[in-house]
Amino acid sequence: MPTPPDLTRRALCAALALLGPVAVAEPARPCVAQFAPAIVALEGVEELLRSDLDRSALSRALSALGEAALPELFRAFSERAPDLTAGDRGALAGALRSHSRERVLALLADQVEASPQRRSSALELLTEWSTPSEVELLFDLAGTAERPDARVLEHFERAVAGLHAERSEAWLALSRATLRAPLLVQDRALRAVRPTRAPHTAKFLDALLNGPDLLAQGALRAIGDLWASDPHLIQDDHLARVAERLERPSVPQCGAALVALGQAQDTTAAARMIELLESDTPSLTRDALWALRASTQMQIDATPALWRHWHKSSLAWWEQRSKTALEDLESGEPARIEPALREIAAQRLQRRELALRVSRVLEQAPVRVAVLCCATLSQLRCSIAIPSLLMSIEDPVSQVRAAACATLQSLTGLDLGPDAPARDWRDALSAADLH
Amino acid sequence: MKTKNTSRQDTEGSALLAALLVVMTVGALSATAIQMQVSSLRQQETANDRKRAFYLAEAGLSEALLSLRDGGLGQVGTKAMPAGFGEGYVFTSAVEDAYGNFIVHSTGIAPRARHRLGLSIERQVLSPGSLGFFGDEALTVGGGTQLSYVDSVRADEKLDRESLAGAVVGLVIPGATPTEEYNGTVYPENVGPRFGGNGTIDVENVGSGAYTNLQADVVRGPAAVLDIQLGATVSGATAAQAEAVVMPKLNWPAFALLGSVNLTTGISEALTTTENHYPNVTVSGGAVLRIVGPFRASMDTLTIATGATLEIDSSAGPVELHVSDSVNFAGGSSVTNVTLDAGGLHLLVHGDDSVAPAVQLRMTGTFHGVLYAPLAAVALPRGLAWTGSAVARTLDIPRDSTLIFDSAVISEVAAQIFYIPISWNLLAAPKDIANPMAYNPEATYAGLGITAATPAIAWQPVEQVIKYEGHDEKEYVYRGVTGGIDVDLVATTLETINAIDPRFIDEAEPDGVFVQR
Repeated sequence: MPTPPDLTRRALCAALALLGPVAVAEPARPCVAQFAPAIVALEGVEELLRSDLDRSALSRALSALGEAALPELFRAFSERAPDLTAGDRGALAGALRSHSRERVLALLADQVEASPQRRSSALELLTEWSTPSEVELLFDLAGTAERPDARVLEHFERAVAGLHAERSEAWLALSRATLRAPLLVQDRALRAVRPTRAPHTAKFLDALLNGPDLLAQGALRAIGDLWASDPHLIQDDHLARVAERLERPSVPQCGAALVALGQAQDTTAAARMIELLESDTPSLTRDALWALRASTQMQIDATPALWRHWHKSSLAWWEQRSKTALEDLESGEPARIEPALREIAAQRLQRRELALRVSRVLEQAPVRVAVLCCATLSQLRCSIAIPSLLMSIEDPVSQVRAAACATLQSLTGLDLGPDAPARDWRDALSAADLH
Repeated sequence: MKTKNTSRQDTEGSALLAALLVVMTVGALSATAIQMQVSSLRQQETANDRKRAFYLAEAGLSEALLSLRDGGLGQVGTKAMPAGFGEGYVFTSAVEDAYGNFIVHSTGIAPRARHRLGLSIERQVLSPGSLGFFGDEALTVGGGTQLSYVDSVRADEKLDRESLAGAVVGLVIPGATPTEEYNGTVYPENVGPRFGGNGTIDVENVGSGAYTNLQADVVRGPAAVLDIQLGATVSGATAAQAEAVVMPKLNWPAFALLGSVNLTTGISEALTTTENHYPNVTVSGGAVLRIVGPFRASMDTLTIATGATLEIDSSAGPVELHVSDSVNFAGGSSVTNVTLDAGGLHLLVHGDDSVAPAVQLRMTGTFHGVLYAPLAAVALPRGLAWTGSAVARTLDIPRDSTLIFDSAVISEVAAQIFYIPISWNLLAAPKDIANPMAYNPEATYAGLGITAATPAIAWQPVEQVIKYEGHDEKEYVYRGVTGGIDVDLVATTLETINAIDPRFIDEAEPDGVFVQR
């Protein structure tokens, strides 16, 4: 037989449920909020969750309970997670998030010392964070245990992936907090940020290089992947810091730096890479050879003397000829540009810079020069030229379009046919993770 | 008048003389022209013959390479009985250097010219075990997995294999580095501890206890996506290869059909008769099936039930089991290897998972051997220490696994062998061959009244093995017909084994045919 509180609760909830959207419409909210403590005290949240309200009505009904119901809503969200449908949980989350961000953050901050289940739920609610204090809260909720709870880690990773911060302070806070965090939390932070391709991502990863060996290894791997997918994110100061790792005693870190530099197709550390060909550590020898081949696109074997010879002659070209050749290239006179392009096409040291310079010429060149630029880019084999080539795909002159298309094919390995529009190329490059 | 007559008489015959001179001059000029023409023709024919001899020598190299790839010796014809081809003859000789590379000399013989070419051929052995722990499409390494390395082949690093029994954690030989050479054979890549794939490679970081520690190189194709979670240590190289990693092709052996083997509780049986096909091999709980090597067999299914044991004894030679459909090692079963030699057992699963899982492994204890299932999804059993290698279409290594890559798995058992031409060069034909008057196979065949064999049927058998030191002070091995070796190449003969030598017979098949390597 129902007790009086039961009846009251049911009556109140029935009223809320019956009125549904009307009951929680703006004019009615103060009225509902007035009764909220009573509803909560009488386990009204549970009753509402048991009701037949659809998700939006339930969400509005729960929201209408006001801030007084927040702890109870969070308790239900966290502790009743296994029993609730996804719709009900979504309604609870919606109701929780409908309150002021400060109040919600205060509620979540209260969970830092709570059970893993509550911290996990708090992380689940902490989305679209954007301030340094929110970053701190994320890591506080993840905890300091060496082996955090798996659910906590999972929701932490999702929360970090939900980054909506454009401000560099938040990224700085993220770097600082990651450096201090336990290893497994660091891993999740890194994994969450890795797929994002933004200038801030590169800075974040760069900061992690100052961390302990394992973190630096992971950051180097992520940097390599980032550079491989978007060469425009490569910056000289980042390259220099990665190249510094080639001097480190840690073999895995040194190997990861070699792979990253190879992925960036960067030859500024070629001299050190050649030294590493003679390393006593076979894995470093192999990684160094791979990095040299990837950077230069030359298939010389692991004989250091051959690489030294190439390096010496390339340096000589840069010292003695590059200035003239690059001036000719940028002279705007086809008679000077053409021999310069032929000379540049033969270079393998600092291909990225050369490809960038040729790309700029391509964008404004007359037909014959544009075709030669495409041929040169094809020989330089550097993916940094892709955006300029995509522009040339839309050139009104068919010879330029054909040359750009052939160069794109040779650089990417994709074959979309001779008449594929730039849009198709962009889609295909995106699908192939080449930006 | 008289004078006039006298004058006439004086000039009589002068026209004849002049005519004669003209005729003689024309004749001499014609003779010279003819001689020049003949000489030019001869020169042209000689030039044609030189080209012909060159092309014949080239054809000989191709035939020798084909012979090697088909399991022959690279010997086509002999100096005494060269193979007939086109309008000439050709013979080749092949010797093997200390690294397993072949050096082939091919001599093309045209009527007026001889040409000799040399070709270096690298013998690459792609062994199933050499891939280490490999999942072609996907590899997952569970957290806490320990992968270490032992090179039990190298004499200076011989280990007491007893120490490998059971879960040995952290068995890493200090300073052990991959070597390129095993038993005189060069393998295509540096062979060391390795894991990888051509698809996704996920390395988790932590298990129930330790963090993942893989003392190995990653071998991966260019499209492979490597994801190493932070905390997991991979000590070796991680760069991708330029080409996808090639998995050796399995060849189904054609063995004589025998009946199925079905062992019931309490019965032990030993299989020793090699090279048979057993449709179904089933060992029920409590029974022990003992297989004694050297042993090769094929079967459709291999089932080891709970409580049953498959015992491998490879002390006298390796055991090679080809399975077409399914391998099922039930929970509580065991697969033991009495020698603890990882190279002693090759379990080669040809089947895929289209009908049912081709490989189900739930046995307990330890495993020493090579599992190669290129078309199947394989999950290694939890809690089992695995020494050797495991290669599959997809490979799932559970958390906290203990894996030991042993170089002993690198062998030619079920290996795919490639002969890769490295370089060729022009050689001077020896004097006795270069002189058409002294060496004329056409006359020899005419005298015998037979025609020369074509290159395809002039492949030579092994009658003699000669180990010798060449003029470059390197060691070489000649395998071929007696007297077929090019004596000009030999500085010092180190050892000669003839067909009647007992050691030779030891290596012979029952029908007396020498087993070619």
